[in-house]
Amino acid sequence: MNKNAVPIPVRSVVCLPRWMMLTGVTVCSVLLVACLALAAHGIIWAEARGSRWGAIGGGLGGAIGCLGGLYGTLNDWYRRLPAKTLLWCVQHDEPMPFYRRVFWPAVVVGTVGIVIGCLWSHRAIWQGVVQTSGILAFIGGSQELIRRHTTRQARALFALYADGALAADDADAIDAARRQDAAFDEEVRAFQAIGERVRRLTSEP
Amino acid sequence: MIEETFTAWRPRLLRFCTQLLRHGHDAEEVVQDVFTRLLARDGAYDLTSDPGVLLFRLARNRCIDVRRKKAATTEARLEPLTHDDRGRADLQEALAALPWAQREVLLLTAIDGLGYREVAAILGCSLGTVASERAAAILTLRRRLAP
Repeated sequence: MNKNAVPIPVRSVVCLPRWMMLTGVTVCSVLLVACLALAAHGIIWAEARGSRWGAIGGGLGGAIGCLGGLYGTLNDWYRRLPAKTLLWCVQHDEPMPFYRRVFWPAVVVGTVGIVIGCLWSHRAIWQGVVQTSGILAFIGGSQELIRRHTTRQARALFALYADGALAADDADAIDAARRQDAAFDEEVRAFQAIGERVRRLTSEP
Repeated sequence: MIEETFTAWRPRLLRFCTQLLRHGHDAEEVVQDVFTRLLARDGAYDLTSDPGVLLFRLARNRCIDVRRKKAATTEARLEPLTHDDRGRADLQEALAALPWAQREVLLLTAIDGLGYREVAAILGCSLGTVASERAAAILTLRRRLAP
């Protein structure tokens, strides 16, 4: 390892998958524009009293929700993993129970539902089976995607920290947690010991 | 210039290739190829700024070629472990069992003179990927080497 390397700030490690952020920002932005258009429609064109206030209320309410979503998505760019969560993620790299139990059954049920729905189109099939299993698969799948990404991020930060490559400001926060937690300290030392063994192996003739 | 680079980097390149391919003769050939290529295209590569990144990138690509060629022809032949030191032999065994991507990241980051940024440049991936793969490799080694 290059001992004179410039320390790496957490920002250099991409925290959120770009596709996830782009999807979130795109969906929120499109919905925001649609909601503002609905509100504008209510103010300018809607004639009946009920539909006017309905459009204005729905549009503004939706716009506030979309702004919140947009803020939350963009804010993720600056989010830091708390040191304890970091260690937990490093130690527990296994699929989420909800994903393990629900995702694949939901995908199978949803697929079967689509096939049956194509042959015998009925509301109970589309709304009762396909829609429900789709929602369950979406929740399970996205939870697991986020878990996998968080684990990768935690592993990256942990490696940078243990190798002393993390920028001082970011390392300080992890140092504080490490001082209070013997298990954390032990994990870091074990990591460093293995790293040192590999370094010796590759530096000896 | 190439002579100085050869003297300074050859041992590190050779150790990296030997551990990655686990075959001393193939590793020698790869390193030889890298420097032959540099000589043949003298002046085409800039060795003044950061020769390590260039050399390791060339060596790593040649290692991938060798690995592919072997996989296509015969079963990859690994050299038997002859080391007396049991701990070291266990480590080599565990290292050899790692997935290729993790092994190359771990070996590159363990080499003196290469930091995360340089390794990311060699492998053509992000810094986060390098750090994450290194951590995954070390955690796997820890599990395998646990008494």
